[in-house]
Amino acid sequence: MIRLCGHPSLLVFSRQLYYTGFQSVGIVVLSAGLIGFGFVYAFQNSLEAVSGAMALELLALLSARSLGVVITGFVFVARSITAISSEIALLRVSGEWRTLERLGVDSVTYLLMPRVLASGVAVAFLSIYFFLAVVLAADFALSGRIDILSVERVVNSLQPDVVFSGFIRAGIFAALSVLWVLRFAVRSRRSYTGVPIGTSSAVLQATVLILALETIYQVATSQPVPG
Amino acid sequence: MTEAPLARRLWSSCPADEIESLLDLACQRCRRLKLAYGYLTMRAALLSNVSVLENLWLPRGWSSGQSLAQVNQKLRSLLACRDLSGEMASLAAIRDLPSWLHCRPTDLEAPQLEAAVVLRALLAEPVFLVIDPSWNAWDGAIRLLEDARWWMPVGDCVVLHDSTWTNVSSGDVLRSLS
Repeated sequence: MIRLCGHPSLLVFSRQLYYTGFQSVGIVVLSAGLIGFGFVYAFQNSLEAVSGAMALELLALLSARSLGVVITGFVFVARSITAISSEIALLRVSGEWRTLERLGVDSVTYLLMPRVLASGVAVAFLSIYFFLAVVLAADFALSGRIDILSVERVVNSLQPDVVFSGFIRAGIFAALSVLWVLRFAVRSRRSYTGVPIGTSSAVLQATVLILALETIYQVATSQPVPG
Repeated sequence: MTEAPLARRLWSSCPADEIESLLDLACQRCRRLKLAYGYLTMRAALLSNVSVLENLWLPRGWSSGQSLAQVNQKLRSLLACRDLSGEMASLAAIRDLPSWLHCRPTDLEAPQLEAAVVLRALLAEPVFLVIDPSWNAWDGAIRLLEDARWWMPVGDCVVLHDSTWTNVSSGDVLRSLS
């Protein structure tokens, strides 16, 4: 991979993209599948007036608007925030960060910014996979087979700006949560024993941040119900 | 760079809590002067989450945009014109370089780690070498850096009795780097 990436920052970016994006696809798709199945059965059991097609459209809309952002955010926090936070904290505690600085390597540009950018890009794509997987899983739960035409119809029924804003939001929220967590990981003077505590705190903070950002967005963009 | 002490090996005594900032300052000033410098330390010497090769490449790739192949080539040409004879473990480690270049630093033995740190400094073709007090590998690969001027800050309670080292104040050294 070093041969393909000329600059050290690019190498860190590509590694983070692979770890956060490619390696998380399985868990995101599995989560989406389980949610798709679960929601369909929940709708059918609780809301008898809701037809299968309506349930599918509702789930697709929910996934595009909010669920995809939140669930992929949670997967990202569980996998990547823990790893990034603990890695950076250990670099600080061990003194390797300082060695890098003495060698003339800007630690922020080399260690932090590529991770933030790669996290944003990776999670945006993960939210796309999530959306597609949840719709396919729900369609399968409804009809016992995957009907590409009905899936296409459902996807086309959504407004493009709603769909794309969800994907972009997922990426932005992930990048912001990494930035927030790294701000504390870089500044704090921890010992080795403090790193797990700090990582645990980072996970909680990132989770709350993603939920808060999504809530603020939904409240800010919601339209009053007429009547 | 202003007039510097003529001796090649310099050491400075200073309060222990000032050593870290002195090392930071010295490296900073070398970069400001665009002076080729090397840094030797046994504490947190290499990044533990990347390979030795990437550790050697990182400062060169960062500062001068050199590619991995260029750094590899430079390493080989530098070693080709150096005398690697001798039984010292770190020199033997350099002779076996290809076998441990792709390992992680945590997988290295002490002579290999010493050799990696010296090689990283050697790639910079330094005229000035900043040495952390934790460096204790004086026999071995460090003789490959004899062309540079060495400077090492030590704590107040340490005195070097080696006649090849000259005591200077850290202020004089830093002034010479301004």
